[in-house]
Amino acid sequence: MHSSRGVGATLVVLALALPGVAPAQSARTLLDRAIQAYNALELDDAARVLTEALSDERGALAPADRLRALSYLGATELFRGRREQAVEAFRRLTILDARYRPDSLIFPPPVQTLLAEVRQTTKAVAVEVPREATITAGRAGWSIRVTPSSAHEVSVVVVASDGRPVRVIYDGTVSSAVTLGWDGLDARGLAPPNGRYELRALSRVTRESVLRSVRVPMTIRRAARAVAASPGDETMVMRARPIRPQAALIAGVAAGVLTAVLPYLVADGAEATPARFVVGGSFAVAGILAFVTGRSPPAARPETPSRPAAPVTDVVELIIETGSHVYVEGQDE
Amino acid sequence: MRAAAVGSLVLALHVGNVATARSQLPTQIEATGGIGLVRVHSDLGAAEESLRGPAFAADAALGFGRLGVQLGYVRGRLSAADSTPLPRNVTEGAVAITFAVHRLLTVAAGPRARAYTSDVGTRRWLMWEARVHGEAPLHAEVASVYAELRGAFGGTTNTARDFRESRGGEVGIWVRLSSAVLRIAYSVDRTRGRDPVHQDMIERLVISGGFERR
Repeated sequence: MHSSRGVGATLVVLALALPGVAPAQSARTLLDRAIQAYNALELDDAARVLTEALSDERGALAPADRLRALSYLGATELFRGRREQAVEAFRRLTILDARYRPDSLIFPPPVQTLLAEVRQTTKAVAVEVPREATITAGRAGWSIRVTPSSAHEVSVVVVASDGRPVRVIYDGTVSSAVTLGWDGLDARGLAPPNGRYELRALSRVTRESVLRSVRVPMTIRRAARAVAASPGDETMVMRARPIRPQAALIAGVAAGVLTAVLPYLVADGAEATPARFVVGGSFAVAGILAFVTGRSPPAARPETPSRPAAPVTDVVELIIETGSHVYVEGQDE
Repeated sequence: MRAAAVGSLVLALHVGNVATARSQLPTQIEATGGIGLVRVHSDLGAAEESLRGPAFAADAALGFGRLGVQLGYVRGRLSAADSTPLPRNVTEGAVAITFAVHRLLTVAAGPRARAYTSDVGTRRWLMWEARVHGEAPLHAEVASVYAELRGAFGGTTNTARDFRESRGGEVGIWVRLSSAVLRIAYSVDRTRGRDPVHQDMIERLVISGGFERR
Protein backbone atom coordinates (compact mmCIF):
# COMPACT_ATOMS: atom_id res chain seq x y z
CA MET A 1 0.00 0.00 0.00
CA HIS A 2 2.72 2.35 1.04
CA SER A 3 4.82 1.28 -1.90
CA SER A 4 2.11 2.03 -4.44
CA ARG A 5 1.49 5.42 -2.85
CA GLY A 6 5.21 6.18 -2.98
CA VAL A 7 5.44 5.28 -6.64
CA GLY A 8 2.41 7.40 -7.38
CA ALA A 9 3.77 10.38 -5.53
CA THR A 10 7.09 10.02 -7.31
CA LEU A 11 5.37 10.01 -10.67
CA VAL A 12 3.38 13.10 -9.76
CA VAL A 13 6.50 14.90 -8.64
CA LEU A 14 8.32 13.92 -11.81
CA ALA A 15 5.38 14.98 -13.93
CA LEU A 16 5.33 18.37 -12.24
CA ALA A 17 9.08 18.78 -12.42
CA LEU A 18 9.65 17.75 -16.02
CA PRO A 19 8.03 20.77 -17.65
CA GLY A 20 10.36 22.99 -15.63
CA VAL A 21 13.42 21.01 -16.58
CA ALA A 22 12.63 20.67 -20.24
CA PRO A 23 13.26 24.29 -21.31
CA ALA A 24 16.68 24.30 -19.72
CA GLN A 25 17.60 21.09 -21.44
CA SER A 26 16.20 22.18 -24.78
CA ALA A 27 17.96 25.55 -24.68
CA ARG A 28 21.23 23.88 -23.81
CA THR A 29 20.63 21.33 -26.57
CA LEU A 30 19.97 24.14 -29.01
CA LEU A 31 23.22 25.80 -27.99
CA ASP A 32 25.14 22.58 -28.56
CA ARG A 33 23.48 22.15 -31.96
CA ALA A 34 24.31 25.73 -32.87
CA ILE A 35 27.96 25.31 -31.94
CA GLN A 36 28.13 22.15 -34.06
CA ALA A 37 26.63 24.06 -36.97
CA TYR A 38 29.09 26.92 -36.46
CA ASN A 39 32.03 24.53 -36.46
CA ALA A 40 30.66 22.94 -39.62
CA LEU A 41 30.42 26.42 -41.15
CA GLU A 42 26.65 26.03 -41.49
CA LEU A 43 26.33 29.65 -40.44
CA ASP A 44 22.68 30.21 -41.36
CA ASP A 45 21.60 27.23 -39.26
CA ALA A 46 23.88 28.32 -36.44
CA ALA A 47 22.43 31.85 -36.40
CA ARG A 48 18.86 30.58 -36.46
CA VAL A 49 19.37 28.08 -33.63
CA LEU A 50 21.34 30.52 -31.51
CA THR A 51 18.63 33.15 -31.89
CA GLU A 52 16.06 30.56 -30.87
CA ALA A 53 18.06 29.52 -27.80
CA LEU A 54 18.58 33.12 -26.73
CA SER A 55 14.98 34.12 -27.26
CA ASP A 56 13.72 31.78 -24.57
CA GLU A 57 11.94 34.24 -22.31
CA ARG A 58 12.02 31.85 -19.38
CA GLY A 59 15.76 32.24 -19.23
CA ALA A 60 16.48 28.60 -19.74
CA LEU A 61 20.11 29.30 -20.60
CA ALA A 62 22.38 29.57 -17.64
CA PRO A 63 24.30 32.88 -17.45
CA ALA A 64 27.54 31.28 -18.65
CA ASP A 65 25.74 29.57 -21.54
CA ARG A 66 24.03 32.82 -22.46
CA LEU A 67 27.45 34.47 -22.75
CA ARG A 68 28.69 31.62 -24.93
CA ALA A 69 25.61 31.83 -27.12
CA LEU A 70 26.04 35.57 -27.63
CA SER A 71 29.71 35.22 -28.48
CA TYR A 72 28.93 32.50 -31.05
CA LEU A 73 26.05 34.55 -32.40
CA GLY A 74 28.29 37.61 -32.84
CA ALA A 75 30.93 35.58 -34.61
CA THR A 76 28.35 33.84 -36.78
CA GLU A 77 26.73 37.09 -37.85
CA LEU A 78 30.13 38.63 -38.56
CA PHE A 79 31.07 35.76 -40.84
CA ARG A 80 27.63 35.96 -42.48
CA GLY A 81 28.46 39.54 -43.40
CA ARG A 82 25.81 40.97 -41.05
CA ARG A 83 28.03 43.35 -39.09
CA GLU A 84 25.20 45.26 -37.46
CA GLN A 85 23.72 42.09 -36.03
CA ALA A 86 27.17 41.03 -34.86
CA VAL A 87 27.66 44.35 -33.10
CA GLU A 88 24.29 44.00 -31.42
CA ALA A 89 25.13 40.52 -30.16
CA PHE A 90 28.45 41.72 -28.79
CA ARG A 91 26.77 44.75 -27.23
CA ARG A 92 24.39 42.46 -25.35
CA LEU A 93 27.35 40.32 -24.39
CA THR A 94 29.27 43.32 -23.02
CA ILE A 95 26.34 44.55 -20.98
CA LEU A 96 25.82 41.13 -19.45
CA ASP A 97 29.48 40.75 -18.54
CA ALA A 98 31.92 43.56 -19.20
CA ARG A 99 34.75 41.24 -18.21
CA TYR A 100 34.03 38.71 -20.93
CA ARG A 101 36.88 37.86 -23.25
CA PRO A 102 36.34 35.30 -26.04
CA ASP A 103 38.64 32.33 -26.33
CA SER A 104 41.23 33.17 -28.97
CA LEU A 105 41.55 29.48 -29.88
CA ILE A 106 37.90 29.40 -30.89
CA PHE A 107 37.33 32.85 -32.31
CA PRO A 108 39.75 34.28 -34.88
CA PRO A 109 41.20 37.82 -34.75
CA PRO A 110 38.36 39.54 -36.65
CA VAL A 111 35.93 38.46 -33.95
CA GLN A 112 38.30 39.59 -31.21
CA THR A 113 38.76 42.93 -32.92
CA LEU A 114 35.06 43.59 -33.36
CA LEU A 115 34.31 42.70 -29.74
CA ALA A 116 37.09 45.05 -28.60
CA GLU A 117 35.54 47.83 -30.67
CA VAL A 118 32.12 47.15 -29.17
CA ARG A 119 33.58 47.25 -25.67
CA GLN A 120 35.00 50.67 -26.39
CA THR A 121 31.63 52.06 -27.45
CA THR A 122 29.41 50.13 -25.04
CA LYS A 123 29.87 51.54 -21.58
CA ALA A 124 29.02 48.95 -18.95
CA VAL A 125 30.44 47.49 -15.80
CA ALA A 126 30.63 44.06 -14.27
CA VAL A 127 30.05 43.94 -10.54
CA GLU A 128 31.30 41.19 -8.27
CA VAL A 129 30.24 41.06 -4.63
CA PRO A 130 30.22 38.27 -2.04
CA ARG A 131 27.02 36.25 -1.83
CA GLU A 132 27.18 36.61 1.93
CA ALA A 133 29.59 38.50 4.10
CA THR A 134 29.79 39.69 7.68
CA ILE A 135 31.48 43.02 8.21
CA THR A 136 32.08 45.33 11.13
CA ALA A 137 30.41 48.63 10.41
CA GLY A 138 32.87 51.48 10.27
CA ARG A 139 35.86 49.21 10.09
CA ALA A 140 36.19 46.36 7.62
CA GLY A 141 35.13 46.93 4.05
CA TRP A 142 32.57 45.03 2.06
CA SER A 143 34.44 44.22 -1.12
CA ILE A 144 32.98 45.35 -4.45
CA ARG A 145 34.88 44.49 -7.62
CA VAL A 146 33.97 46.74 -10.54
CA THR A 147 35.27 45.98 -14.02
CA PRO A 148 34.43 48.39 -16.84
CA SER A 149 34.04 47.46 -20.48
CA SER A 150 36.15 50.54 -21.21
CA ALA A 151 36.99 53.73 -19.38
CA HIS A 152 33.95 55.78 -18.38
CA GLU A 153 32.23 57.54 -15.51
CA VAL A 154 30.85 55.17 -12.92
CA SER A 155 28.88 55.75 -9.75
CA VAL A 156 28.50 53.01 -7.18
CA VAL A 157 25.70 53.68 -4.72
CA VAL A 158 23.87 51.80 -1.99
CA VAL A 159 20.18 52.71 -2.10
CA ALA A 160 17.27 51.85 0.16
CA SER A 161 14.26 49.89 -1.02
CA ASP A 162 12.45 53.15 -1.73
CA GLY A 163 15.27 54.36 -3.97
CA ARG A 164 16.67 56.78 -1.42
CA PRO A 165 20.49 56.96 -1.61
CA VAL A 166 22.07 55.52 1.51
CA ARG A 167 25.72 55.91 0.64
CA VAL A 168 27.73 56.89 -2.42
CA ILE A 169 30.65 54.50 -2.45
CA TYR A 170 32.37 55.72 -5.58
CA ASP A 171 31.81 58.42 -8.12
CA GLY A 172 34.40 58.91 -10.81
CA THR A 173 36.20 57.48 -13.79
CA VAL A 174 36.96 53.78 -13.91
CA SER A 175 39.39 52.69 -16.62
CA SER A 176 40.29 49.22 -15.38
CA ALA A 177 39.15 46.74 -12.79
CA VAL A 178 39.00 48.29 -9.34
CA THR A 179 38.10 46.92 -5.93
CA LEU A 180 36.02 49.23 -3.78
CA GLY A 181 35.13 48.86 -0.13
CA TRP A 182 31.99 49.82 1.75
CA ASP A 183 32.31 50.21 5.50
CA GLY A 184 28.63 49.48 6.15
CA LEU A 185 27.75 53.05 7.12
CA ASP A 186 25.35 55.47 5.53
CA ALA A 187 26.13 59.06 4.62
CA ARG A 188 25.61 60.14 8.24
CA GLY A 189 28.08 57.60 9.54
CA LEU A 190 25.42 55.26 10.95
CA ALA A 191 24.86 51.61 10.30
CA PRO A 192 21.62 51.33 8.31
CA PRO A 193 18.71 49.46 9.89
CA ASN A 194 17.87 45.93 8.90
CA GLY A 195 16.15 45.69 5.57
CA ARG A 196 16.39 45.33 1.83
CA TYR A 197 18.76 47.52 -0.13
CA GLU A 198 20.29 47.63 -3.57
CA LEU A 199 23.80 48.18 -4.78
CA ARG A 200 23.72 50.14 -8.03
CA ALA A 201 26.63 50.57 -10.37
CA LEU A 202 25.69 53.32 -12.81
CA SER A 203 27.47 53.80 -16.13
CA ARG A 204 27.31 57.47 -17.08
CA VAL A 205 28.06 59.61 -20.07
CA THR A 206 27.78 62.75 -18.03
CA ARG A 207 26.82 63.36 -14.42
CA GLU A 208 23.19 63.79 -15.40
CA SER A 209 22.94 61.03 -17.98
CA VAL A 210 22.88 57.37 -16.98
CA LEU A 211 23.36 54.87 -19.79
CA ARG A 212 22.65 51.73 -17.84
CA SER A 213 23.10 50.21 -14.45
CA VAL A 214 23.77 46.95 -12.73
CA ARG A 215 21.65 46.40 -9.66
CA VAL A 216 22.42 43.89 -6.97
CA PRO A 217 19.70 43.23 -4.37
CA MET A 218 21.08 43.27 -0.84
CA THR A 219 19.66 42.18 2.47
CA ILE A 220 21.33 43.78 5.46
CA ARG A 221 20.81 42.61 8.98
CA ARG A 222 22.73 43.00 12.16
CA ALA A 223 24.59 40.02 13.48
CA ALA A 224 23.48 38.54 16.81
CA ARG A 225 26.07 40.68 18.52
CA ALA A 226 24.02 43.78 17.83
CA VAL A 227 20.77 42.58 16.33
CA ALA A 228 17.76 44.76 16.89
CA ALA A 229 14.68 43.37 18.54
CA SER A 230 12.82 43.34 15.28
CA PRO A 231 13.84 44.08 11.70
CA GLY A 232 14.29 47.78 11.21
CA ASP A 233 13.97 48.56 14.87
CA GLU A 234 16.73 51.09 15.03
CA THR A 235 15.72 52.39 18.41
CA MET A 236 17.13 49.30 20.08
CA VAL A 237 20.60 49.61 18.65
CA MET A 238 22.23 52.04 20.96
CA ARG A 239 25.71 51.23 19.80
CA ALA A 240 25.06 52.23 16.21
CA ARG A 241 24.59 55.85 17.15
CA PRO A 242 27.20 58.54 17.40
CA ILE A 243 27.68 60.13 20.79
CA ARG A 244 27.73 63.87 21.08
CA PRO A 245 30.43 65.14 23.43
CA GLN A 246 27.99 67.53 25.08
CA ALA A 247 25.58 64.68 25.82
CA ALA A 248 28.38 62.60 27.31
CA LEU A 249 29.41 65.52 29.53
CA ILE A 250 25.86 66.04 30.77
CA ALA A 251 25.37 62.31 31.38
CA GLY A 252 28.59 61.95 33.35
CA VAL A 253 28.03 65.02 35.51
CA ALA A 254 24.39 64.10 36.07
CA ALA A 255 25.41 60.62 37.19
CA GLY A 256 27.90 62.16 39.62
CA VAL A 257 25.35 64.54 41.10
CA LEU A 258 22.74 61.80 41.31
CA THR A 259 25.16 59.60 43.22
CA ALA A 260 25.63 62.35 45.78
CA VAL A 261 21.93 63.05 46.28
CA LEU A 262 20.57 59.52 45.89
CA PRO A 263 20.26 58.89 49.66
CA TYR A 264 18.19 62.07 49.96
CA LEU A 265 15.90 60.93 47.17
CA VAL A 266 15.21 57.41 48.36
CA ALA A 267 16.05 57.42 52.05
CA ASP A 268 14.81 60.80 53.23
CA GLY A 269 18.28 62.20 53.68
CA ALA A 270 19.60 59.39 55.77
CA GLU A 271 23.23 59.68 56.70
CA ALA A 272 25.02 58.00 53.85
CA THR A 273 28.58 57.05 53.23
CA PRO A 274 30.88 59.89 52.15
CA ALA A 275 32.52 57.39 49.80
CA ARG A 276 29.67 57.98 47.41
CA PHE A 277 31.15 61.42 46.65
CA VAL A 278 34.32 59.73 45.42
CA VAL A 279 32.29 57.39 43.25
CA GLY A 280 30.09 60.19 41.94
CA GLY A 281 33.14 62.31 41.29
CA SER A 282 34.63 59.54 39.17
CA PHE A 283 31.43 59.44 37.09
CA ALA A 284 31.65 63.18 36.51
CA VAL A 285 35.32 62.94 35.57
CA ALA A 286 34.46 60.18 33.11
CA GLY A 287 31.89 62.48 31.51
CA ILE A 288 34.42 65.29 31.28
CA LEU A 289 36.97 62.97 29.70
CA ALA A 290 34.38 61.77 27.21
CA PHE A 291 33.61 65.39 26.36
CA VAL A 292 37.27 66.29 25.87
CA THR A 293 38.14 63.23 23.81
CA GLY A 294 34.93 63.49 21.81
CA ARG A 295 35.79 67.03 20.76
CA SER A 296 39.24 66.02 19.55
CA PRO A 297 39.52 65.94 15.76
CA PRO A 298 39.63 62.40 14.36
CA ALA A 299 42.89 61.14 12.93
CA ALA A 300 43.19 61.53 9.20
CA ARG A 301 42.64 58.40 7.18
CA PRO A 302 42.32 57.54 3.51
CA GLU A 303 38.89 58.28 2.15
CA THR A 304 37.19 57.19 -0.99
CA PRO A 305 36.41 60.20 -3.14
CA SER A 306 32.76 60.38 -2.17
CA ARG A 307 33.05 59.52 1.50
CA PRO A 308 31.70 62.15 3.84
CA ALA A 309 33.20 62.72 7.25
CA ALA A 310 31.69 60.05 9.48
CA PRO A 311 31.06 60.60 13.16
CA VAL A 312 32.33 58.14 15.71
CA THR A 313 30.20 55.01 15.89
CA ASP A 314 30.16 51.90 18.00
CA VAL A 315 30.71 48.36 16.83
CA VAL A 316 27.92 46.88 14.77
CA GLU A 317 28.35 43.70 12.81
CA LEU A 318 26.36 43.50 9.62
CA ILE A 319 25.48 40.43 7.60
CA ILE A 320 25.10 41.34 3.94
CA GLU A 321 23.50 38.89 1.53
CA THR A 322 23.19 39.58 -2.15
CA GLY A 323 20.91 38.30 -4.88
CA SER A 324 21.02 37.96 -8.65
CA HIS A 325 22.20 40.90 -10.72
CA VAL A 326 19.66 42.90 -12.67
CA TYR A 327 20.65 44.91 -15.73
CA VAL A 328 18.70 48.07 -16.41
CA GLU A 329 19.00 50.20 -19.51
CA GLY A 330 18.60 53.94 -19.42
CA GLN A 331 18.19 56.65 -16.84
CA ASP A 332 18.04 55.73 -13.21
CA GLU A 333 14.62 56.49 -11.80
CA MET B 1 10.50 60.20 59.04
CA ARG B 2 13.89 61.64 58.40
CA ALA B 3 15.04 60.74 61.87
CA ALA B 4 13.67 57.29 61.48
CA ALA B 5 15.54 56.89 58.25
CA VAL B 6 18.94 57.39 59.78
CA GLY B 7 20.66 54.12 59.26
CA SER B 8 23.69 52.06 59.01
CA LEU B 9 26.09 52.44 56.21
CA VAL B 10 27.49 49.51 54.42
CA LEU B 11 29.71 49.26 51.42
CA ALA B 12 29.26 46.03 49.58
CA LEU B 13 29.33 44.15 46.41
CA HIS B 14 26.08 43.87 44.62
CA VAL B 15 26.03 42.64 41.13
CA GLY B 16 22.36 41.92 40.71
CA ASN B 17 21.51 45.56 40.45
CA VAL B 18 24.47 46.34 38.31
CA ALA B 19 23.34 43.84 35.74
CA THR B 20 20.51 46.13 34.90
CA ALA B 21 22.99 48.44 33.27
CA ARG B 22 22.98 46.46 30.07
CA SER B 23 19.47 45.19 30.14
CA GLN B 24 18.19 47.38 27.37
CA LEU B 25 20.66 46.10 24.83
CA PRO B 26 19.63 43.46 22.30
CA THR B 27 20.19 39.75 22.55
CA GLN B 28 22.94 39.09 24.99
CA ILE B 29 24.27 36.93 27.76
CA GLU B 30 26.11 38.56 30.57
CA ALA B 31 27.72 37.28 33.73
CA THR B 32 29.67 39.29 36.25
CA GLY B 33 31.05 38.89 39.69
CA GLY B 34 33.20 40.80 42.10
CA ILE B 35 33.71 42.15 45.53
CA GLY B 36 32.75 45.26 47.41
CA LEU B 37 31.59 46.73 50.63
CA VAL B 38 28.14 46.82 52.19
CA ARG B 39 26.97 49.18 54.88
CA VAL B 40 23.73 48.57 56.77
CA HIS B 41 21.90 50.65 59.33
CA SER B 42 18.86 49.24 61.09
CA ASP B 43 16.51 51.35 63.15
CA LEU B 44 14.55 49.03 65.39
CA GLY B 45 12.75 51.78 67.28
CA ALA B 46 14.24 51.01 70.65
CA ALA B 47 17.75 50.55 69.23
CA GLU B 48 19.85 51.22 66.23
CA GLU B 49 22.44 48.98 64.66
CA SER B 50 25.23 49.87 62.27
CA LEU B 51 27.30 47.25 60.56
CA ARG B 52 29.58 46.99 57.61
CA GLY B 53 31.68 44.43 55.90
CA PRO B 54 32.94 42.90 52.70
CA ALA B 55 30.73 40.96 50.37
CA PHE B 56 30.83 38.76 47.33
CA ALA B 57 28.28 38.90 44.58
CA ALA B 58 27.46 37.43 41.20
CA ASP B 59 24.81 37.98 38.64
CA ALA B 60 23.65 36.89 35.23
CA ALA B 61 21.49 38.48 32.60
CA LEU B 62 19.94 37.00 29.51
CA GLY B 63 18.20 39.16 26.96
CA PHE B 64 16.25 38.52 23.78
CA GLY B 65 15.58 41.77 22.07
CA ARG B 66 13.39 43.86 24.31
CA LEU B 67 12.77 41.16 26.87
CA GLY B 68 15.26 39.90 29.37
CA VAL B 69 15.78 38.11 32.65
CA GLN B 70 18.15 39.14 35.41
CA LEU B 71 19.42 37.16 38.34
CA GLY B 72 21.40 38.65 41.18
CA TYR B 73 23.00 37.33 44.31
CA VAL B 74 25.06 38.94 47.06
CA ARG B 75 26.36 37.66 50.33
CA GLY B 76 28.30 39.60 52.90
CA ARG B 77 29.62 39.30 56.40
CA LEU B 78 28.72 42.31 58.50
CA SER B 79 30.15 43.43 61.79
CA ALA B 80 29.98 46.54 63.93
CA ALA B 81 32.84 48.69 65.08
CA ASP B 82 32.20 47.70 68.67
CA SER B 83 31.11 44.39 70.11
CA THR B 84 27.41 45.16 69.72
CA PRO B 85 25.38 44.46 67.73
CA LEU B 86 26.21 40.88 66.90
CA PRO B 87 27.94 40.12 63.60
CA ARG B 88 25.64 38.76 60.93
CA ASN B 89 25.48 37.65 57.36
CA VAL B 90 23.47 39.48 54.76
CA THR B 91 22.20 37.50 51.80
CA GLU B 92 20.24 39.02 48.99
CA GLY B 93 18.79 37.58 45.82
CA ALA B 94 16.81 39.22 43.07
CA VAL B 95 15.04 38.11 39.91
CA ALA B 96 13.55 40.49 37.40
CA ILE B 97 11.89 40.41 34.03
CA THR B 98 13.03 43.38 31.99
CA PHE B 99 11.45 45.16 29.07
CA ALA B 100 13.30 47.75 27.00
CA VAL B 101 10.90 50.57 26.29
CA HIS B 102 13.56 52.49 24.43
CA ARG B 103 17.22 52.01 23.78
CA LEU B 104 17.93 54.22 26.79
CA LEU B 105 15.06 53.22 29.03
CA THR B 106 14.18 49.87 30.57
CA VAL B 107 11.49 48.86 33.01
CA ALA B 108 11.68 45.73 35.12
CA ALA B 109 9.74 43.91 37.78
CA GLY B 110 10.41 41.00 40.06
CA PRO B 111 11.02 39.83 43.60
CA ARG B 112 13.94 40.69 45.81
CA ALA B 113 14.66 38.79 49.00
CA ARG B 114 17.03 39.88 51.73
CA ALA B 115 17.97 38.11 54.92
CA TYR B 116 20.09 39.09 57.90
CA THR B 117 21.27 36.02 59.78
CA SER B 118 22.93 36.11 63.18
CA ASP B 119 23.32 33.70 66.07
CA VAL B 120 20.00 34.80 67.49
CA GLY B 121 17.85 34.46 64.39
CA THR B 122 17.08 35.58 60.88
CA ARG B 123 15.32 38.75 59.76
CA ARG B 124 13.82 38.43 56.29
CA TRP B 125 12.37 40.79 53.77
CA LEU B 126 10.66 39.86 50.54
CA MET B 127 9.77 42.70 48.21
CA TRP B 128 8.04 42.81 44.85
CA GLU B 129 9.77 45.59 43.00
CA ALA B 130 9.27 47.70 39.93
CA ARG B 131 12.32 49.37 38.41
CA VAL B 132 12.97 52.14 35.95
CA HIS B 133 16.42 52.14 34.45
CA GLY B 134 18.05 54.72 32.19
CA GLU B 135 21.39 54.59 30.48
CA ALA B 136 23.52 57.08 28.56
CA PRO B 137 26.67 56.29 26.57
CA LEU B 138 29.77 58.26 27.38
CA HIS B 139 32.36 57.19 24.88
CA ALA B 140 31.60 55.05 21.85
CA GLU B 141 31.06 51.52 23.07
CA VAL B 142 33.64 51.76 25.81
CA ALA B 143 31.86 53.56 28.62
CA SER B 144 28.32 54.27 29.73
CA VAL B 145 26.60 55.60 32.84
CA TYR B 146 23.26 54.45 34.16
CA ALA B 147 20.78 55.28 36.88
CA GLU B 148 17.95 53.25 38.32
CA LEU B 149 15.08 53.97 40.67
CA ARG B 150 13.07 51.16 42.19
CA GLY B 151 10.19 50.79 44.54
CA ALA B 152 8.27 47.90 46.04
CA PHE B 153 4.59 47.51 45.33
CA GLY B 154 4.28 44.77 47.91
CA GLY B 155 6.27 42.76 50.35
CA THR B 156 6.43 40.68 53.48
CA THR B 157 8.72 40.39 56.45
CA ASN B 158 9.09 38.06 59.38
CA THR B 159 9.78 40.89 61.79
CA ALA B 160 7.21 41.92 64.38
CA ARG B 161 6.02 44.70 62.06
CA ASP B 162 4.23 44.31 58.77
CA PHE B 163 5.92 45.39 55.58
CA ARG B 164 5.31 49.03 54.77
CA GLU B 165 7.52 50.18 51.90
CA SER B 166 10.82 49.77 50.14
CA ARG B 167 12.52 52.03 47.69
CA GLY B 168 15.99 52.50 46.37
CA GLY B 169 18.23 53.61 43.59
CA GLU B 170 21.49 52.93 41.91
CA VAL B 171 23.99 54.89 39.84
CA GLY B 172 26.86 53.29 38.04
CA ILE B 173 29.28 53.23 35.19
CA TRP B 174 30.35 50.34 33.08
CA VAL B 175 33.43 50.00 30.97
CA ARG B 176 33.52 47.46 28.20
CA LEU B 177 36.61 46.22 26.41
CA SER B 178 35.83 43.61 23.82
CA SER B 179 33.70 41.07 25.68
CA ALA B 180 35.04 42.01 29.13
CA VAL B 181 32.93 44.22 31.36
CA LEU B 182 33.94 46.28 34.36
CA ARG B 183 31.39 48.07 36.54
CA ILE B 184 31.46 50.49 39.42
CA ALA B 185 28.17 51.22 41.12
CA TYR B 186 26.70 52.84 44.16
CA SER B 187 23.25 51.86 45.38
CA VAL B 188 21.06 52.50 48.38
CA ASP B 189 17.80 50.88 49.48
CA ARG B 190 15.55 51.62 52.40
CA THR B 191 13.05 49.09 53.66
CA ARG B 192 10.48 49.97 56.34
CA GLY B 193 7.99 48.14 58.46
CA ARG B 194 4.75 49.58 59.77
CA ASP B 195 4.53 51.52 62.95
CA PRO B 196 6.31 51.34 65.30
CA VAL B 197 9.36 52.08 63.24
CA HIS B 198 11.49 49.31 61.90
CA GLN B 199 13.78 50.34 59.12
CA ASP B 200 16.77 48.91 57.30
CA MET B 201 18.92 50.98 55.02
CA ILE B 202 21.52 49.24 52.95
CA GLU B 203 24.21 50.90 50.85
CA ARG B 204 26.50 49.14 48.47
CA LEU B 205 29.65 50.14 46.66
CA VAL B 206 30.37 47.63 43.98
CA ILE B 207 33.27 46.85 41.72
CA SER B 208 32.70 43.87 39.51
CA GLY B 209 33.95 42.32 36.32
CA GLY B 210 32.74 39.72 33.92
CA PHE B 211 31.98 39.00 30.33
CA GLU B 212 29.20 39.42 27.88
CA ARG B 213 28.26 37.75 24.62
CA ARG B 214 26.03 39.48 22.17
